[in-house]
Formats: sequence, structure tokens, C-alpha cells
Amino acid sequence: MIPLSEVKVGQKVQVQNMDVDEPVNQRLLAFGLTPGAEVRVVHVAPLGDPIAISFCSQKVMIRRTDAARVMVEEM
Amino acid sequence: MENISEETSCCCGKKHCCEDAEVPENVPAVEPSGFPNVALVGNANTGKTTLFNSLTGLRQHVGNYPGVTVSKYSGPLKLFHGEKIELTDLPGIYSLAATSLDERVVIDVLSGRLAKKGTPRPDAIVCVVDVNNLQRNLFLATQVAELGIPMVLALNQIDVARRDGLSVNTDLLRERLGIPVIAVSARKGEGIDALKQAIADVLKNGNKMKTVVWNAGTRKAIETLRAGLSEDVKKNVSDAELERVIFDVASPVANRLKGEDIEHIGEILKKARECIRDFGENPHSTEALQRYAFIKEILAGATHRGKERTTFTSLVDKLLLNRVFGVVFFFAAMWGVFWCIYTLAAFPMDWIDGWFGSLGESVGAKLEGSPVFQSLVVDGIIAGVGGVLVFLPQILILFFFLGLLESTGYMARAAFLMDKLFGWCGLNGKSFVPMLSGYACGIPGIMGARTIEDPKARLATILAVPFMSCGARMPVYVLMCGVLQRVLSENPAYAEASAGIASAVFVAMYFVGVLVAVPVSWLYTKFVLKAKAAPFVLEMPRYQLPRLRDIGLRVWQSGWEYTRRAGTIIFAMSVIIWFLSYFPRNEAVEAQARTEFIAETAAEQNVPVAEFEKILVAAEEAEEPSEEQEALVGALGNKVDGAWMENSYIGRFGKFCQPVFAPCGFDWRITVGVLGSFPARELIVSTLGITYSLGGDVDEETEDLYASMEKTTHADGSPVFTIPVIIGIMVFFALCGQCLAEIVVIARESTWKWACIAWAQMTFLAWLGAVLCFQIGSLF
Repeated sequence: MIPLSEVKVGQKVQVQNMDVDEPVNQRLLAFGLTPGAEVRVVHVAPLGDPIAISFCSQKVMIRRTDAARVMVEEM
Repeated sequence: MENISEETSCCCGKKHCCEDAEVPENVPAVEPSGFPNVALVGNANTGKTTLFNSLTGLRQHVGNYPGVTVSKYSGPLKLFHGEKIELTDLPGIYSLAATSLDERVVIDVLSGRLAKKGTPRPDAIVCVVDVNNLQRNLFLATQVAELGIPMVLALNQIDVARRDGLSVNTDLLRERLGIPVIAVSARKGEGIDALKQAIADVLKNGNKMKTVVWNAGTRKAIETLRAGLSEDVKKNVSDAELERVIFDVASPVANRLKGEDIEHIGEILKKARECIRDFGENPHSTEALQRYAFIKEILAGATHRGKERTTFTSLVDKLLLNRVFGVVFFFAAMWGVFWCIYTLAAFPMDWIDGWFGSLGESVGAKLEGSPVFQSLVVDGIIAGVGGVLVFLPQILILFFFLGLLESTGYMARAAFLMDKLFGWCGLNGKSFVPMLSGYACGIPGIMGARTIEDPKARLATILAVPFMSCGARMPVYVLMCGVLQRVLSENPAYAEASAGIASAVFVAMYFVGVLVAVPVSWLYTKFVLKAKAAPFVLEMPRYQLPRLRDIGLRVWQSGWEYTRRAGTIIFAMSVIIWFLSYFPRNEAVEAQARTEFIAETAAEQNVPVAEFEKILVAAEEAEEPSEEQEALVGALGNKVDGAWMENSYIGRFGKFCQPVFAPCGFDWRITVGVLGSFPARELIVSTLGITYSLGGDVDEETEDLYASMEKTTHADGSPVFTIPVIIGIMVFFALCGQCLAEIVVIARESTWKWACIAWAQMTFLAWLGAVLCFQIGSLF
């Protein structure tokens, strides 16, 4: 398992567990980022942070500190 | 983590600012109009507002929800059989968790808690979902369904779905959800009639959407919490609200359970959450898991997607989020926006200035007989209205661009590119546009901060924008750099480089504000604004062609709102300031000024006083005065104006405040100039003109003004305008909150408390900056 923040652009991964601070956690859950969800990292901002991920046919940006708390498994 | 007394406080920094009194549930929805109320609910970027605009057209009214800076849009709609309804467009949200102000407003409206404050509980809901992302969009729909209000599901953007090869079986969804499901395209005007019919149907039949069936653990948790409440509270709180208290970490809904002491509730809540844990689930994630399981069941076999292909959006994003090209494009786009606000707005601003100027002249001529009334009408009322309207062009242009950036989907990308740069000091990626437009004018910039969802970052942006060097500071810099160059050129050490140094100082002034604003913002975020920042989880919506109709409507609304809500206050205050600078009008002041003028000028021209007086009287009484005579009378008029100014309430206050500004090296003239510019920065030029007896018509390039300023000395004969003083004045103006309109707009966009804080801190920092310049500069 690796944190989502370490995943390379273009790579597809599956969420294993999440330990993100509130209220970010709640928002991610509402967007459908739950354990089991398949995620792809699609962009990294020019200054390295935030990153854009795509899951459930949508594109969402999150900060690296939050992504670091989402553990994923390569697919 | 299980702390229910903690709550997110709002942008105003006040707790409970949108807190409701004990309003019982199910208050009958009676709008003053008496028509049924229907609310549009949905995620952001679903085209909900476009749908609202096509349903209500231009008959919308814009207001605010009580006590909060969330705009409320509503408008009448006529259904087919002539039934009228009142339609409200609720803010776009992703969940009812109430982590943001918008979410809290929505849950308050839907549970009828704002009924007594003019927003009744809706009789029906149109839940607008983006058909291209049904799964996520239905998350909110399932939450809203639990509030027990009849509902229609509008599957918007069906045209995009068709283009992308996505088909949806609406009949199947209708059967499974138990409510009308209508495919619409608000952009293309498709399905609008069917939607209107469905609204009429649910108002009649009261169809309610099927809700999630909770697992045993969650059901037990809700029961446990309910059982622990006092009878009074129990009656007034719905299961849906209790769910929020259980699922959310710090739900503001918890405050409603305050019937007994809070610790007691904390205990029950702990027990309730324990029920979910006993079931082997996490109380904070169980909601999402169960809801998404339910949604998957509903959607199974109801949608069919053709083969995946690279979409237009992902191609464009490859380009616009590219590390090099994306950044170049961003700055080019921002430069374009700024150019339009700064340069294009100058034309209509000049027309407004010119028009009000000539209106003042022609009206003034008619009121020649009564000087007080004339000055009130010309300098107070007409100048006041002009001073309000002059900001409109920049506001309208900025809101046009904000609308363009938002509706095309680029704003989210801008936030993505800029977040790192701004995030660390409490601002965010969306602060860029408001701060940039602050360089043209703070007022549209402050209003533009509305686009920032996070109340904490929004407030930090509102406080940072006024520090940006707006257009009104430029005349001050031009004037002071002009004086600086003259002073430098007389000093042999700098004479040759004087022009270069002056222009370098001029440019440097544009950075002073932002260099102070960023650390100030950091300090605020770190130590003052205790509220948690809103989650930075932003959707990057599909790129879309902008709809000029929607943008136009929002531009018009922003301009109207400014004029009506801020403009009236600005106008009233300008009249008060006119009063303070006009009164008291003591005849003796004029006589004294005249005597002084005669004595001074006579001495200058080497003419006996008595003889000069005769010359002056002849000049005043001449039917067709010569140029010389006119100049003489004009000079006397300026002298008298200067004396009036010195003697007015503002002038007296300036002299009284002089000791405060002594550490900055300011003399009474500069002090009066500084105080006289609190209504608007650029007034310093005309105020100095008046105090130097050159009249109020001087501008920042008037040679006489430079000359008089350079010649000014303190009582001991040393020059007033030394290099440290000149730079101190510029720093003062760069930092000071000298703009009445700006302060009023801050109050409108946040609260008066924050407006006062903003004003006080800017004034203090300005003073401190000027003191530092003078004290350190004087060491050399």
C-alpha cells in the first residue's frame, strides 16, 4: 500500500483505507471517494501541489497533505 | 473527535451568526405572495442556475439569507394551468453535512428553520443532477429525500450525455425512486415543459423519493440518540437531522439538541455512535458507504455508456494544466482581464466623471444665489452620486470576467494552478482574480471574493484586497514622485539619477501593499480566524461554452446590488463628509483671509496696502475683468477656500490630530490632506491644492503645486518635503484604508465589525510605515 500522494500521473489505483482530517474526509466521501473506489492521478499543479485525481467519472483536485492520508493499492 | 460543542463558525467570525431560534419543524410554508414554494437543489456545476434562469428569466430577485453573506435568488414561475409558484435557487452544494455556510443555509431552508425569517420551507424540491455523473449527484438527492419534501429529479445536461454516448432509462429510475424523473437540457431549452408539468404534478400528488434503508447499526444509533433527548427537543427534530448529528464530526445541527446540558448530549451521542461501531463500521464513513450502495442499486442497469473515448475536456486540460503552457496561458488570461478592468473601464468612468461634473456646473449656476444649498447640491449630492456610480464600470467588467471564468470551467483550473502560491497564507487559488482586480480598484475585487466558497479564505481575501495598489493611489504616487524628483535634483549627489530614482520608487510602491498583505493574511489565518478552513476538494468541471445570458444576468445583478445596497450608504456618508468639510462657515474667517491676502500680496508687489485694496475691489467689481484682474480674484478665492478648509470641522480635526502624525514628519497641511483623503485617496491632490491656496482644481501634474510643496518649511525653516517624508506619504497611501466606498463594501460583503477592523489595521499599518520611513530615513 502506498499513499495517494506518491502515485505517479496516469497510474490507476484502488483506495484501501482513508484517514483524512475532517472536514476534507467528509467531502471526499460525498464525492464518492470511498474504500474500494478506483482512482487515477491525472494532473500535478506546476508547483507540485495540489494534484488532480479522477474517479467515478469526475475530476477533483485535492492537496498533497490530504492525499497522503489516503492509502491505495496499485491495480 | 466526538465533540459536538465545537462548531464551524461563519465567515463573519461570529458563532451562531446563522443560528436559528427554536423554530418548530413543519411551519406551514406561507410566502407573502401565498404561492407554493419550490426550491432548486443540487451540486455545483450541474447547470442548476442556467435552469433557474431559463425558468424565471428576468423576473428574479436577489437578496441575502438572514445574517449571512449567502445570496438568495428567487423568482416567480407560471405553470401551464396558470398556477403561480415561487422558485428559489438554493446554493450549489455536495452534501448536507453543513461544513460550509452554503450547506448550512440549504439544510436550514429545507428543514423550515428560516421560515420565520422570510424563507419558507419549500412545498416541493426540484433536485437538479448532472446526468453525466449521476452517482455522485444522487448522493445529495438521497440526503435531501430524507427531509420528506415532495421532489422531482431533473437530469440536466442530457445534451452532453447524448453527445458522449450515455443513455439513461428515465422510466426505470422513476419506478425505482418513486418520483418524476425528467431529462432536461437547460442550455438547449429541452424538457423544460415536461419539468414544469412534473412540478405541478408533485405539488398535487406529493411524491416523495425513496430513501436509503439504513442497516441495523445506524437505525439503532438514531433510536438511541432520539431516546436520550428531552420530549421538547424530540418533537422538533427529524430523523434526517439526527443522522447529521451522528454522521458529521462537528455538526451545527447539534446545537438544536441543546435542550439539556451539552455534556449530557455528548454522552448520548457517544453511545449512539458506539452502536455503529458495534456493527463493525466507522460512524463517519458509514453514511457514504450505505448511500453509495443504495445509489448503485438504483442505477443498476438504468444507464448505458458507449465506449470510453478521450473527451474534449481532458485534451484541453493537458494543455491548460501543463507546467509551462498552462502557466503562460494563465498569466496571459489574467493580464487580459486586468487590462480590461483598468484600461477599458477608464472610458465609461471618464464619461461618468465628466457628466456629473457638467451636471454639477449647470445646476450650480442655477443655484448661484444660495451658496450653502449650492455647495450641498453640487459638492454633496451630485458629487456623491457620481462617486457611487463611478465604480460601476469596473464592477460590471470584473463580474463579466468572473462569470466567464466560472461558466467555462476555467476558474477551477486557475485555483488549481495558483493554490500552492496562495494556500500557505490562508488565501486560496481563487483569491488571485479578486486580488489582481484590486490593482484596478478594491471594490470590484472585494465583491469578487464572493466566488471563494471557503468562508475563511474569502474573509482573508476581502482583508487583503484593499492593500493592492488601486488606480486611485496612482495620482498620489505621481504627485509625490514628481516632488521627489525635484527634491533629488537639487541634491548634487542624486541630481543626475533623479528621474530614474523617482520612477523606481513609483514602481516599488506597487509592491508595498502586497508585501504587507500576505504576512497580515498569514497572521490572521494563524491566530485570529479560528474557524476551520473549508475542505479544499474542488471539482474540475467539464469545459463549456459560456452562456452570455447567464453571465449578463449575474453582471446586472451585481451592479444593481452594489448600487442599491452599498451605493446608498456610500452616498449618505459622502453627504456627511461634505457637511464636515463645509461647516462651520464663519464670516470672520473670510474677512481674515481677505485681510491676510491683501497684506501678503501687497508686500509681494511692493504696493501700499490701501492702494492694493483699491486694485482688488476694482478687479472684483469690473464688468469685463482683464486677465490680470481675473487671476487676482481667483487667487483671493483660493486663499479663502484654504481658510475655509482650515477652519472646517475636518480642518480643525486635522490640526488636532497633527501630533499623531508628527512622528511621520507631516506638517498640518499634509495631515489635513491625509485626513481629507479618507473618503477617497485621490482627494489628497485637491485637498493639498486647497491648503496651498491653489484651488481645488489642481491635478497631480500641476507645476505650481510641486513648487509650493517644495518651498514648504516647518516653523524652524527646514523643508517639510524631505525624501523620507515624501516616501513616508507614499507608503502611507499605499497601506491606508482611505476609501469610504471600500469600507462600506467590505461591510456589505462581511460584517461591519470586519470593516472596522480592516480600516483600523490599514490605518495603523500606514501610520507605522510612514513613521518608520521618516525615523529611519532621518538617521542618514
